[in-house]
Amino acid sequence: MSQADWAFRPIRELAQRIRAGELTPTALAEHCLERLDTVGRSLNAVVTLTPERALREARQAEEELRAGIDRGPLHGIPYGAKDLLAAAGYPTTWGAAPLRDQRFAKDAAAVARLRDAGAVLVAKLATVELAGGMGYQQPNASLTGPGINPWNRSAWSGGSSSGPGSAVAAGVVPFALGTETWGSILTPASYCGISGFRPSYGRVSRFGAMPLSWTLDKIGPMARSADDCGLVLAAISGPDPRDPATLAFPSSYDDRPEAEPAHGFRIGVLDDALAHCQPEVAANFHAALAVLAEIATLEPVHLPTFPYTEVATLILWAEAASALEPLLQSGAVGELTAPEDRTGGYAGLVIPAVDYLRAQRIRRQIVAALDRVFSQYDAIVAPATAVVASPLDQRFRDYAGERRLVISAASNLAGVPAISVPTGFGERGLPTGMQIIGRYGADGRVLAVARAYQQRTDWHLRRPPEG
Amino acid sequence: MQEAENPLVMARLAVLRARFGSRLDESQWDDVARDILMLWRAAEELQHVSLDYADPPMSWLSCRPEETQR
Repeated sequence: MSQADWAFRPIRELAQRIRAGELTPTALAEHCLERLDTVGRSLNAVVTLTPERALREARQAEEELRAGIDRGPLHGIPYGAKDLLAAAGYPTTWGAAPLRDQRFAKDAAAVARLRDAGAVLVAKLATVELAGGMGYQQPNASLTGPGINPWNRSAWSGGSSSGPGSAVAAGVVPFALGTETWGSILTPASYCGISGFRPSYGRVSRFGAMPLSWTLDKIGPMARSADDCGLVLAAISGPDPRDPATLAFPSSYDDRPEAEPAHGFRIGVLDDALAHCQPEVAANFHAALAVLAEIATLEPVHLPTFPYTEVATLILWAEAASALEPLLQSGAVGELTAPEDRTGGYAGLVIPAVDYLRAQRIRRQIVAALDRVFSQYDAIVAPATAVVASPLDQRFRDYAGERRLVISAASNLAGVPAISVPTGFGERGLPTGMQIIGRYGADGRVLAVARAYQQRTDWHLRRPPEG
Repeated sequence: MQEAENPLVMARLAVLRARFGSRLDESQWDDVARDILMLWRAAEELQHVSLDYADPPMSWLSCRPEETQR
């Protein structure tokens, strides 16, 4: 394995090589820091490098492993955290120019849990400013500039977890932490050709993360494979009294073959979504279904009729305006990068309470109706996004038109787990993806379907051109 | 502009203008008005969903399916 391969390799292999003495956590961290400073910065994927902490944590991992203290598969593995997540002492900018000097005294819970698992924080990675909560409409909406796609440098990386998406895709870090309120893990994962997992709402503590929408925000892993995502999820999951939404779920990841159903999976296919997709996205999805047919019974499925997008819009805009009201009140939003973000939060301040409550009352119906559908399947699948990544110089609506998949709003309202896995390539050589969505709490089953798919395909092993 | 013709949109805009004064220029206030109109239309769509008097909202921090069974 050449040094250039390191951050492209599976976490299990890196862990094995560290224990075999073929690789040290320090060498791995130094390699990632160098890649972050060169390749990562060229993709606008980096906000802050954390070399002091990285080398300290890497040395500690080496000493512990030498002493026979093994914290598991992430011990000594470098990673980056989306810059919505606090890392004690380092800037946590939320991607926003007016907050470039913001710092917190404590690690976010997910960062602390990775520290306890022996992982090595090497960087704070780029995000769309304020996680896109001010309604950005084009890629240039971050203090680090537009996220650049490593597969085609004139294309966007996707957002709001832009840095995690492009950094993992370019082999800069083996994995990263992203966040999703409405598409912010699955979209950049699909656009960048990696695996991005959105856990069930409440599985991962949001303590220390920027709040955008208390009833929609989730934190999850972005990595090269579903198996890597599962390893990270197992480390960051668990109840936390500092985030009252968290629950003591059963184990989040079981990679044993017996965890898979003996008679294959039962998978629902959201055919309706295909009408809104680019031809290559649809063709690659059909090819992915042919692979899934080897391991599953496939059945067409339809979403119950609800105004998903409108419900999600009202909830998100109202909660974001409340969470970020200090920035609106102070006028700090006027310093944001995207012109539309300087005005985008104000309207949320005057949503009538009855409109917000009606949305949350309908949401209760949505959650119950979707659970009845999802309970019949191991997973439901659809294209991850209707289009590939937009050009850097175009507004999203000008490129995609009205091609937006309603399943994204529906599944985020229901708080159900989902993963995006690569399915091939489309327009302008850009990756396409499939989302695999499960019943609430069935995170392990979603990962099992994704893992089985990736055991039969190699799209997740493809690498973008260097430089 | 459509939003200028909608008195409910203009009323909300007036509230924001009263609160934030001259912070935004006129073209920016037009953008805010468009956002208000979009949110007003979204709320109108929600009127088509039937709700019983007793249907409560999802609670603040819990959005789990089992809550809907209570």
